[in-house]
Amino acid sequence: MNAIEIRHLFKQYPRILAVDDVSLDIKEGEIFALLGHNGAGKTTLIKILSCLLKQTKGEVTIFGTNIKENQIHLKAQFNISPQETAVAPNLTVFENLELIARLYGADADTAKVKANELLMRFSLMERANDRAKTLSGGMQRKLSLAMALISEPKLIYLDEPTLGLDPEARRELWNQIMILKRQTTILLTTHYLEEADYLADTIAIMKQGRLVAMGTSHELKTKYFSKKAVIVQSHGIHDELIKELTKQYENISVDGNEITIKQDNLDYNDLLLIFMKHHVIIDSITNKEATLDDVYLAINRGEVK
Amino acid sequence: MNSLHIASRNSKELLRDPLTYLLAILVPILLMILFIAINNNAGVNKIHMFQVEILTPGIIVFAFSFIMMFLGMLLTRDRRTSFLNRLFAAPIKAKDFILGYFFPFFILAMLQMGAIYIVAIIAGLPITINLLMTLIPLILIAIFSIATGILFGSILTEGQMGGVGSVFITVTQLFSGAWMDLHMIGGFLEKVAYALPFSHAIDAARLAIKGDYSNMVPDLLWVFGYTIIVVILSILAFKKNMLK
Repeated sequence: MNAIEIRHLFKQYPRILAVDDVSLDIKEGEIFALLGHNGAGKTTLIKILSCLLKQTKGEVTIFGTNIKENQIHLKAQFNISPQETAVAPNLTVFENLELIARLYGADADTAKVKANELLMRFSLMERANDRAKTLSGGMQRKLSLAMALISEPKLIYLDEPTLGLDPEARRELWNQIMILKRQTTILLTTHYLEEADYLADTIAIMKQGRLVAMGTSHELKTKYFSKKAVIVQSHGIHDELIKELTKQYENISVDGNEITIKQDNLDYNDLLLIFMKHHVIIDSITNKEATLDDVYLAINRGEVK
Repeated sequence: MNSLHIASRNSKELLRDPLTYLLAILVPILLMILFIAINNNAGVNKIHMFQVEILTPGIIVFAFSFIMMFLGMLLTRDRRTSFLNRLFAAPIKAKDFILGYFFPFFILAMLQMGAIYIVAIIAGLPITINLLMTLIPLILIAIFSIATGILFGSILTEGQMGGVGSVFITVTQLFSGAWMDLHMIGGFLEKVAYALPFSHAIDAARLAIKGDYSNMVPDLLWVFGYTIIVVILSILAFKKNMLK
């Protein structure tokens, strides 16, 4: 069953078409990552899905309910962790959790139990009575995610959940998100491609409000970036060599002592002969598999359609 | 119930900020004590505006202007940090949000009024039934100040709110006749002052203290009209924030 179904969704601001004819399905229990530059439309899309913005045109259903109908009932089924940490600064860590639990209908005792459970799970117990504003950025992000989980939602929107975190804190938060996999549907937006690669079942790339690519990480790499890359390192690279390589191969780039050639079925003998002809000694040759970065950059540079 | 949870959170935010006590309660009381002391030391040439029954309503209305700024600042900060978006995404009705922001500030306004009345009574304001009648214009102007805070907090940025809040406090001070006789200023400034609700609220409360209830009605209508308009605008602006 699909958790979310979006059909021909548009959001028009006075000067910008922020969401441009987006249609997609998100399956129940999957982690769905939305990638895209700033202003690509990711946050606008999440705001529409969380009933914070009205769409200009198009239909959205969440667990079978149209988002234009019975929003109070719909909102009880999801929770969000916005791009900013979105905590109440003068409330304690415990009070922040308790507040959200109460707002989602928990009674006083249940709210306390749930808050304590999440404090344990997110290793925040020692800071339970500290005001949220005294926490580090990483801890505030953890608290923000814990606040999104306290209502035990069927669906969570995470808008750039690890923005600005150091690698260790990011890895810790990833682990928390992975624990939710299959139990909860998660829609996350991110700038970090390795985050999407690591966490998501399905990845969608947005550009200027449009959905330009969608699939699993493997599907995207094979579909949008089939060419393999060969990286040749040498200290003797000179203009004549580059000129000849450019004639022979369509897609080459030079960066200092490194030449990258993107071509399928590249004949290594031909390549070595060119280097020998120009008396250039090769230090190393490596094959590079396509990464999500390659796909993302290629799509955003318009190299693939 | 949800409005109580939001009100509880907002009360904590308010009470845990030392500026609340300093600006909203201490400054008006210190001003009141200062003016009363000046009047007491004036010998036979007492200053009419600093008489306790004239001064008290003015100080109360001035104190309420801080409420508008505090509420506006809290709301703009909640918008900037997306805390409000987190709340808006929760299954809560608009009226619960508005009441959740209204209640703590209304209680603060009543505490301000109570504290100022205690100082006034100590300074010689007679305790009569007339004091109860002052609650009508003063509660109306308190609601006006709270609604103005919700209105500006819903449409301005945090930076803009600081500036607008300061202007609001200055306007209340200058154009309310709290401790300056507006008839002596006269001319255009007097007309501006009487086009705004503050001076009417103060005049109505002063008339109530004198027991002159029948003459309160025109002033009350001014304050009531302003309050109704700003309450409606603040609800519309807040609801627009909830679903853009």
